Amino acid sequence: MSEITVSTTGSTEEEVLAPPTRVWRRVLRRPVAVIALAVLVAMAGAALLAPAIAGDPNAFVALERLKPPSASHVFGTDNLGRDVFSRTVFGAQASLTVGIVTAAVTTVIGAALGILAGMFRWVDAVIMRIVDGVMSFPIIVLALAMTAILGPGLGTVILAMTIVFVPGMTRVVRSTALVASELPMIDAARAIGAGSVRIFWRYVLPQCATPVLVQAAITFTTAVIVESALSFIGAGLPPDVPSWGASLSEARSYLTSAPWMWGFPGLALILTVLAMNIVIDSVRDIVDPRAGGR
Amino acid sequence: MLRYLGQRLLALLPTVAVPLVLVFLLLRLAPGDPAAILLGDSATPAQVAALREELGLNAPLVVQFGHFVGDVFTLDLGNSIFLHKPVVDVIPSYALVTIEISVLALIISLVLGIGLGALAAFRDGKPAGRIATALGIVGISVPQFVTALVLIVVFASWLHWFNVGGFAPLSQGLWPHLRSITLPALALGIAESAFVARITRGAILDVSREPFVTTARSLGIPPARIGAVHVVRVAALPILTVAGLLVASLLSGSAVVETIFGVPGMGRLLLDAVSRRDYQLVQGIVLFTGVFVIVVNLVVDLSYAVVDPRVQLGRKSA
Repeated sequence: MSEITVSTTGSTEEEVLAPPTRVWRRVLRRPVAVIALAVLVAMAGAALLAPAIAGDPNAFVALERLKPPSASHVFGTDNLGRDVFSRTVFGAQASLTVGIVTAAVTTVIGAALGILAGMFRWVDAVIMRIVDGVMSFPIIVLALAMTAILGPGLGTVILAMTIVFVPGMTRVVRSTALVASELPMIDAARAIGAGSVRIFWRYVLPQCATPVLVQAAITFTTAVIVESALSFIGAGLPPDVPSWGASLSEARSYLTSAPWMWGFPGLALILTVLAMNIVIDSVRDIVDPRAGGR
Repeated sequence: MLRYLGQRLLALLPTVAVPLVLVFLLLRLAPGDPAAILLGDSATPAQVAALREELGLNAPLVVQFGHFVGDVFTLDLGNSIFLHKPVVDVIPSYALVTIEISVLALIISLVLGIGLGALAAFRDGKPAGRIATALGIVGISVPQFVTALVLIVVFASWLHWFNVGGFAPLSQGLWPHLRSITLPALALGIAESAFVARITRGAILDVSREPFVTTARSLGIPPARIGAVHVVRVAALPILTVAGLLVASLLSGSAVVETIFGVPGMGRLLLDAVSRRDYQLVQGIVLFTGVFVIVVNLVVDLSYAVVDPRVQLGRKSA
């Protein structure tokens, strides 16, 4: 849904196309962005080390149901007597996997289509019209429909999200490629006799790195939110996979009696998305100070 | 204007084709025989064969698509296996509830979002502006269903202002009806307002740098008046575009929020249809939703000219 507006006038276009390493150094000078990155690293660490730092998320002790946070269960236990900490940590695994895989697949397909659209005018017209149609599709509606046909599961969730997110990436790649191909160095490359395919791969495409990374990050946050929403309504990941969305759904009957049941997984979800959004905003602020937050 | 409308409608065809093709392929690319999927597990081979014949599934894919499009344009979307009614008759009453909640949510998100975004822009760099901007980022990061749970705890469990799960149709009176859709609309609207706020802030900051604002300032027009009359009107354009985009997002969120609050809307209907494996109904809802969003965005496009006199429809600049 969000997209980068590429200004075609003034000096901002060079900033938009700033190489990731330079942008990165400036991001690291912002305290809020550093904290956000630390949160993301912590989440990723928890997800990777889940089996080592948390017990079996599906193990339940009938006598230990709905216990508030204590020394033995840091985040308390849920209505089945399962450890909320384990479920939250393993939930990070599920959410981050879905987010990263969706973002990666979307980036590859979206970039390929965007390049095609940027290189050939007639393909451009066709692809962009289709892009309009797909972008207007309510993601959860499509995901539910696909669940009905293909059955619930990780693959269905990722496939449905990829279909809806590819158009956004296609647009970003296409528009930045168009801006990049106006740069003086492209004329220079042409002047020394470089062919159009070579120019595209060697000079135009590398310029798109920053906008593509930003769009990939946006895809990641959206995928994390949509997966949790789908799991919340029972159309996402299978019931035996711990997921933040599923945890929140199970807590619906215990909203006030056992707030830890939804508080901790909910907080983990919000923190992950918020941290990524802060990083995205910092990058946008640097590459295009006129857009995005301060 | 009429010519522009014609062009727009023509350009719309490939876009409308997307949901059509998607829905068409959904059932046919699925593993297994579509007729068997439609009839469910208890169907006999003879029934499956009869339905295959009836649906024309033995014809080539292109011919099938032709029939499918023909059916859609004559509003024949098949029958809901579970509800024993034509899909076309089922959808409207559910869609009405969803549209009602979405409109309320849209109003909430525009009021909150434009307010917050304008505050962030006009007080840019000052404490109030920073807080507004920060609120916007936090708002974007909280999923609708988490907002819904928090609303339930605060307004239903603690304050007892609203009941949860008690949907009151309009026939029970306007007030009980509005009361029963307020929390769902709030849950949807708050989440979207953060997005509106972000766009509003960017749009106002952009417009503030336009030459005509400098001119207005040099003429001695008070800054508040410039902001309220001149800047906001031009900044309304991107906000309007966002309102169009929000429709897809609201319809997406309605499946989740309607489930939480027990509202008999289209999102809930879709979820039920999916769990009952009522495929004709699923198809119908997906198609309806896709086309609905496209039409709303067309209306948004056309309304640009009304909001911003600089946009002249039919000319290249639009």
